[in-house]
Amino acid sequence: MEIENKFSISVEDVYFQYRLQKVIDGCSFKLEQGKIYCLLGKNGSGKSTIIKILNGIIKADKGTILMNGKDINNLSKKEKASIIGYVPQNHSGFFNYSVLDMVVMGRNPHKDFFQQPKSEDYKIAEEALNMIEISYLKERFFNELSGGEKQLVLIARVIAQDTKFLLLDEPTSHLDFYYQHQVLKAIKRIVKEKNISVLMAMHDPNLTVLFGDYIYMLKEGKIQNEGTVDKIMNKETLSSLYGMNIVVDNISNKKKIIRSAM
Amino acid sequence: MSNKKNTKLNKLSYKPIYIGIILLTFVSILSLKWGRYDIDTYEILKILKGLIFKPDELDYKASNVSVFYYIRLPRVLLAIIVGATLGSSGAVFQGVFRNPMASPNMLGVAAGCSFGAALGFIIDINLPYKVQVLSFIFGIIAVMLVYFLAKVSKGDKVVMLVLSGMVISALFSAGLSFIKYIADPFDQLPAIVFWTMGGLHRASWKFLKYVLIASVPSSIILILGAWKLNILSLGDEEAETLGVNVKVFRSLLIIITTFAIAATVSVTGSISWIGLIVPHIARILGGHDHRTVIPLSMISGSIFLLLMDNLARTMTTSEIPVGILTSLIGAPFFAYLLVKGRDNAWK
Repeated sequence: MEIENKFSISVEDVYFQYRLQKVIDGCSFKLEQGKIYCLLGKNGSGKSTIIKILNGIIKADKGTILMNGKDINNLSKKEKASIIGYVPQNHSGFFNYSVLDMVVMGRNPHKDFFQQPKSEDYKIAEEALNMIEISYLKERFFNELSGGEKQLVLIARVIAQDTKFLLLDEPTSHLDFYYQHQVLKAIKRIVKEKNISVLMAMHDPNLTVLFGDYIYMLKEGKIQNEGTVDKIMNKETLSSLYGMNIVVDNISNKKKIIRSAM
Repeated sequence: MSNKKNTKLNKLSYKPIYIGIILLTFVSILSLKWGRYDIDTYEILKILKGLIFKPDELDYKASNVSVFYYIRLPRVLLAIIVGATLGSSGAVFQGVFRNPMASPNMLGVAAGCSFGAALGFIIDINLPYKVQVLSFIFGIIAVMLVYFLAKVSKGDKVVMLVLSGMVISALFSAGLSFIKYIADPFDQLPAIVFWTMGGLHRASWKFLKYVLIASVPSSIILILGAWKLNILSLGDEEAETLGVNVKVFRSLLIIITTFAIAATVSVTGSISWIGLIVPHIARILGGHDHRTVIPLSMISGSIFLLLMDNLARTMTTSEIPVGILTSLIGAPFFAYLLVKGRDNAWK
């Protein structure tokens, strides 16, 4: 069991260019099980691109990505979706499905081409809603939910998808203070309970300090710095990352408040 | 876990579908009855019973049996199949393009079919059913051209498909106009014009079989693929991350609906509005889930076309092309839905 559960993703020397713009300029990193990894960087630093390359929406120009030793390019859409789950940032569409139906869609990678979801899939979906304590939403319709509730439902869907690995692209943007914390607490809980790992692009260094285990600092498509919160979330690295004067108030070794210098 | 709880978990409601099937049966029997030659309901049931259990003993020369068997029954069945095909294809296109304004004609199948049919009326080749055959072939060609054009264009695939559909439709419409212009105004031109208005008067057992070959497999695939269509309707990227091979699945849906539509249009001519409004009716009745939208679109499409065809063949002494009626009644009905049914439909 131990060996089977060990799961890792390694990204080796990946490049991606959009038109003439180098977006990812030689990135290598490794993700291991049971941790929350955060990508920190300015807008346009390549955070979203890395997420998109990992979930297969775009293809890297150069470099290899290995999921459990297998090249990502050799995996089918279905295989990929049963290893790696993705929580989209914004969601609005014409079609309006119930919350439970929305969550059940997470079961798709475990179904054959024309197979329909069965009651056991609905049961898994209900358990996923239970896990992050939003069962009360299941009868509601997705398009009528608030932004924060939608984000939680999409997280429940990825729980139902039952992957070893989660990708989130700025999961807390557009959310109020309450839901920023609800969403990140939900993610922290599933990482703990299911022993999976998460990579999220973050734009708030303070939330990163609170919820991140390991941080990759991304600047101009390169990883400038990496390490645990207490090691690299300091004045020098952050000032250089954002290109502004930053003050870090240390409350304790792991608790700190990051703000711009007045 | 008890059975009761299972049904509660699977909270899809099939009630509107059952009611729809009962209603469709009722309307079908009425349609078999109505016409210039009225057939008694009891007589209909008797002939139907005879057809099913002792087809060899029926007297096909008797006028009520012959009207029923050679005219009324194939026509009613054709209306059911064509209505179901147009309705479900419309639902699929609206799902694939994530747009309530989408209709099966947006990829050029109707324009191609009309051009092919018109070509069939004016060229002199020795080909049995040349109008139908050419119509079918050009319908397929039009969609293939759209698909190819979208493939080589840069940009969002869905947008490119819609734009390519406009381009190719415009080309085939121009071709149709040109054929009309050069057609013999006393003989060929009226035939072309009448064909493009659409009608079910060509119904026969032979055409029925041909339409069935294309639409039955497509209906089965659509019903089975309805749940995946829900996922596709969320957007390409989201569907991919949920494990749907978007390219393959979308192509499959477009190919099978194109074949079914081309087969029906080549027999009936283009019948507008059904593909556009019927999915909206289905969504008002049963919600947005394609597992109910697809079957409900089939049933409502059949009922709508049956009713329109009954009007088309009984309103006046000569037949009115049903395509005129579907627009004439469909457009105001759609306007009514937009005003009145909005709350249910878009929630």
